[in-house]
Amino acid sequence: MIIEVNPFCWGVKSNMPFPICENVFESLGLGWWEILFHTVNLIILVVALWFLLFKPIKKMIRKHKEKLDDVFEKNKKLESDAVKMKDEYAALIEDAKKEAVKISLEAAQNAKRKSEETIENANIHAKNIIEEAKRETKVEKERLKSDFKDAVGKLGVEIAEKVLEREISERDNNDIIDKCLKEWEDE
Amino acid sequence: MSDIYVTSAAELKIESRKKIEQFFIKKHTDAVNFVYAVDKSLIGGVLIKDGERFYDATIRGRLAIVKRNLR
Repeated sequence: MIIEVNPFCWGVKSNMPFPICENVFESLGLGWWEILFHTVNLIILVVALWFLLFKPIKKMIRKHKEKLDDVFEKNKKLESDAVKMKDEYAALIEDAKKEAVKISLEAAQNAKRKSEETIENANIHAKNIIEEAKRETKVEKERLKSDFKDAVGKLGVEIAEKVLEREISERDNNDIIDKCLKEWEDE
Repeated sequence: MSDIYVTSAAELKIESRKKIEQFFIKKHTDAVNFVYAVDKSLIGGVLIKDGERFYDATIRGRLAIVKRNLR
């Protein structure tokens, strides 16, 4: 058996607890100190990597995640604000539509009421005109009747005058005088 | 003395004049003077003026009343 001096083994022959392992390690050219050395190296490497690489990266990832969470939160808030504004806008639109319907109804009612008032006033005015015309017609009729009566009376009296002028005799005259004297005596 | 004016449509006969004079003499206590006149426009009858009072027995006067009543 060739024993090689390995600087990593401190030149000391190792006492391996497991003979099978000793054989495997011997065939690989590894001693216990080498293994220990590599193990320590590995541990140091892992620790160094932990502190130099893993932690910063983890920190970076965490910061990035926080940034992303923040952005996500902001987006969520913006989205909820947008939804809220959309609902408010929809409510405003709805109110505006209702208001428009209400205004158009009121306008229609006002127009209807005004037209009814106008028709009513026109009817009253027409009625007054008719009444006035009837009154004037009546007055005119009475006036004409009166004028006609006057004219007829006048004509009758004139005719009577003419007839009496021709027809009255002396006897008639005396009779008139006698009759009147009797009337005056009785007074 | 009172004056009485008698206006007739035609000349009055004596009988008519007497009747008139008797009527008015009874009414007056003083003397009465009759003045006679003719006015054809009276148509018939007689119109007598005694002071401020008129006695209208004319046909014209009656027709005027009729005309007034027709209004």
